[in-house]
Amino acid sequence: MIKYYIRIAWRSLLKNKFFTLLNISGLAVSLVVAIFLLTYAKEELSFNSSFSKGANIYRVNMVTSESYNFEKWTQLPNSVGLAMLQDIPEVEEMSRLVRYNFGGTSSLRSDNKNFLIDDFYLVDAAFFELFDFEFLEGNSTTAFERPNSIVISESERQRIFGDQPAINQQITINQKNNFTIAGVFKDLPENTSFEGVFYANILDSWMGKNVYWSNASYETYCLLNPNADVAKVQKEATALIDKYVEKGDQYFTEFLLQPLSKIYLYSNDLAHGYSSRLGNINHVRMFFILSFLILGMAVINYTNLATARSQNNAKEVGINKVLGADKQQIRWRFYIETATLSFIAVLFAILLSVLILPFFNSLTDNDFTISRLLALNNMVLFIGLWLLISLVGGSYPAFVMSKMPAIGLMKKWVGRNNLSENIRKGLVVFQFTCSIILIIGVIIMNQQMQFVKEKDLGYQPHKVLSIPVRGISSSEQLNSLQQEIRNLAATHEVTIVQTYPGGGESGRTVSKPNSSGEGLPISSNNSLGPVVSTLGLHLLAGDDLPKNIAKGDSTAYVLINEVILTYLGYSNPQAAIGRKIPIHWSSEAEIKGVVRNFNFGNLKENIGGYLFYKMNDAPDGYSDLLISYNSQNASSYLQQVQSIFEKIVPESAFDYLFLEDYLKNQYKADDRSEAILMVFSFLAIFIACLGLFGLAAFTAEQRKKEIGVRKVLGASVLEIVQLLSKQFSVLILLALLISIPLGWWIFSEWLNDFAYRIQISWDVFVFAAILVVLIAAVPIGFQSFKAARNNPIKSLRTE
Amino acid sequence: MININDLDKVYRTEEIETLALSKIKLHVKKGEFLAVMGPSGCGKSTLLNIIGLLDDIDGGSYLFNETEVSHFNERKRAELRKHNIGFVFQSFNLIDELTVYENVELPLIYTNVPKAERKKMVEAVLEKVQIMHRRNHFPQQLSGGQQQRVAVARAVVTNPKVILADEPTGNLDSTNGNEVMHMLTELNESGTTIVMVTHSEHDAKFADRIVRMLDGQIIMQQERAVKNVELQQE
Repeated sequence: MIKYYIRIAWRSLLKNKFFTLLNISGLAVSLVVAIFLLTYAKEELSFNSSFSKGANIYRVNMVTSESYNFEKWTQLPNSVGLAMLQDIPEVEEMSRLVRYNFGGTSSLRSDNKNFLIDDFYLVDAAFFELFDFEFLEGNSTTAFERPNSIVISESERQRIFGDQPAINQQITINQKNNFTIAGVFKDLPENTSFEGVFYANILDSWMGKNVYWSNASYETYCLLNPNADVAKVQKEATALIDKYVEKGDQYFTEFLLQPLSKIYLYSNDLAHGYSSRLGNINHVRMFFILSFLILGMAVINYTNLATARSQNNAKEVGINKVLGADKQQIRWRFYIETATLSFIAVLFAILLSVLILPFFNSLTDNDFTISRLLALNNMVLFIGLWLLISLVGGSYPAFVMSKMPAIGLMKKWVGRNNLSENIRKGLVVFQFTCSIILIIGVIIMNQQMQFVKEKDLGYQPHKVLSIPVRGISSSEQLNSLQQEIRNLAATHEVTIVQTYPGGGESGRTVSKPNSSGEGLPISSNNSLGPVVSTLGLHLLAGDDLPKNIAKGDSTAYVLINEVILTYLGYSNPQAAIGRKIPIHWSSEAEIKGVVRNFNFGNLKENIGGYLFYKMNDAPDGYSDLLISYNSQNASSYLQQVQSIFEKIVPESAFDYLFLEDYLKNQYKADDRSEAILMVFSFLAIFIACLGLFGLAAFTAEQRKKEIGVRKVLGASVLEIVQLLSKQFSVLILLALLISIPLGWWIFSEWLNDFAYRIQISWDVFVFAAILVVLIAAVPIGFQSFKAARNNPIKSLRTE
Repeated sequence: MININDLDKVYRTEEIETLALSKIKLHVKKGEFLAVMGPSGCGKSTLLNIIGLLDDIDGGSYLFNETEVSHFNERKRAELRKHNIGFVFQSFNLIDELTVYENVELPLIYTNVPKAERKKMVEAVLEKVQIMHRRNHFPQQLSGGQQQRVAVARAVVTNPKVILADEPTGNLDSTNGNEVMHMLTELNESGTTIVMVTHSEHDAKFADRIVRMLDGQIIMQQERAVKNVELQQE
């Protein structure tokens, strides 16, 4: 029986080549989309799943106090982990993780060669027990046995030592710290949150030797007993605050345990995480929804065309019934037809996905391989989708046709029923509603990203270069480097700072004079020279930071932004100049200048308090040399800077960052989402148009006789085209009416994520409407025109 | 074989009710060849559909082989139909996607006849209607007469007790039409009951009895004692 139905299905597909082609292309395209996005989503969900003890590993995060707006931070003081290990029996192991020197690029010297290293972390020895590192040289248990040991990744070994073994080799970091390589580990897979390629023992450094409850810069990972009650451990950890920290120093109120498996996707509300690999569960959800939406649209096309075509199938089904087929057998017939068609679509989808793999990789910044795409579990997914499509797509015709009486079928009474026609119309409206919402989304996202990128940031990141100088320990080198760069014709200004804006300021608080306790959390940036002119800040009052400070002067000279000005309560910028304010990292601070608020991070966040300061014996070091230049040829200017650097500091590696690029990177994830949404919208519209094309063809076919009669009675081609287009135009109009308010609502919500955002204007909807009408006009117009041009005698004769 | 008493059939649309059949009384004996005649719209095809259990009735009774079948549900009807009734239609109603062989095989698939046996039965009946040489052709590749021969083959392959023929020669020229009529006569002679709806007086003469209908009622029945000798000679 099944064989017989497959045969019938196959021959009927061959006979109706037009509809078969429409259906197969729609289904195949949507399957490709689904398979890519589901693979991508699956990859995102599998993050950090490769660690054998992962189920019991938690990162300890903390909730800050009111003065820090109850922000959640991933970094804690380095005493938290130690106290938990000591006081909470369920905590079996613990490791802290901190960036070497709290971050920034370091310079590594080995065998008279310089290398830049970025991902250098200090950890406890237990780190290698918590996470499964596979050691290619040395081993995990003895890695930190000797002082100043360091372990490096396999690819770093390749970079620094080539094919030679690295164990016991000596390296020098930033010209001052010597380490011995005690192990080489196999590179971790990409889908882990740990990016470190250098790990040294935290206990060899002052960063681990000094234990304190103040500096929150350490990520802390705990291995809990498998039977531990996580909520209880969390409570006990929070109780440690009162036990160890004085009331007045408690700037955190609660510790939270975050399962390792959730770190990647659920950390968007957490500040200061070390891992740059951050996903977003909302994006994963969006991909799931979108892939099923597109798949749904293709299935709708199938169902629509199948019911529309059921008139043609009716006779055959009727005969089958007359000859003894029961309802069950008729249903099977339709399911098998759908399954046969969708099976071909699956085969095409596999072929297509292999072909467009490179495009997908560049769109999503991924590196999927063909073998991974065609892995067994994806094949299972393909089969699952195939069965799903067969079931959903086949059901409507199966149930409608199996219910019809044989006589009705043979006389082709089907298809004239109002219900199926209304369902068909409803589905077309649904498809176009989705498509229009996606178009609206693309336009709004595009406008917002454009707005963000072009917004006046309050400073001029354009043509500012940042050179890491952490590796330079001699002040003579630093001075001559500054001097020589300043001498270049294209150099506008040079200054040395703790960090470029947004790169790694210190989190501190500023208080009002004569007030106690309360303070405003701010970012502070230690600067040696003229930041206003280097960064192009708008000076509202006062001056840039002073060039020189007298020896023995303990005052910190500060430049504040408007947020701090407002907090301090001065009526205007001028009123603040020369005022002394209390800061906790110096005995006294004097306001030298006030600058307009500037955006140093992502425009999703509001501008916070920001302060540049200059003082003798500052608590923060200097990491970056900022250079503003006015050369048109950035690369040749960069070459000049590089050759000066290499001449003056031959023992350090040269690195650079254009501030503009850094800012662009802030929106990389949003840009990617926008690109994906754009491709999706295009595909959704394509699939909806395929459906419309088929339905228009079907309608023209169905109304062939009517068209013939009308033409005989004198109707013009234009009148016929109008007649046929009218019913579809109404559907598109209805879709517009539904999608415009819906799209407005959805994307207003999305915009709410941005602190600085566009107002959605009406022309977005007008543009989307015109676009959709134009796109839809192609299939409808084509089919209507084709039908209108037919010779009426021919169509009447067939009737 | 077929006993119909006081049968009513009403067609309803939203606004009008049409009485398609009214108080029909009809008895068909086993082995009888009955022709139903009448102008278009008189209800003869409706009657045939009801006899073939393809349509419901709105009143009266219908006994098939002495079993009341008017209240049968869809499944039971299909069951009874596939084992007892064969159909021949004016427009042949072959399935375009199936070959001659597959079309004839279809009713046997629905009656769960094993494959080997199916093959024997299909080939035998194709031989009988002299279409064996076209077994692998599709209906569109055959002439009208050939298509109707295939339709007859399909109707008889299950050895049904009754064959219902709705204008079997309506789409055929006279030569092909006669051929089909001879086939039906032969079947009838071998014991199959035949009920045939026709417009053609010529075809009706092949039958044992002619029932004439008008406006949903049987208005006349003509018995014929001896089959028409002239016709045999034609």
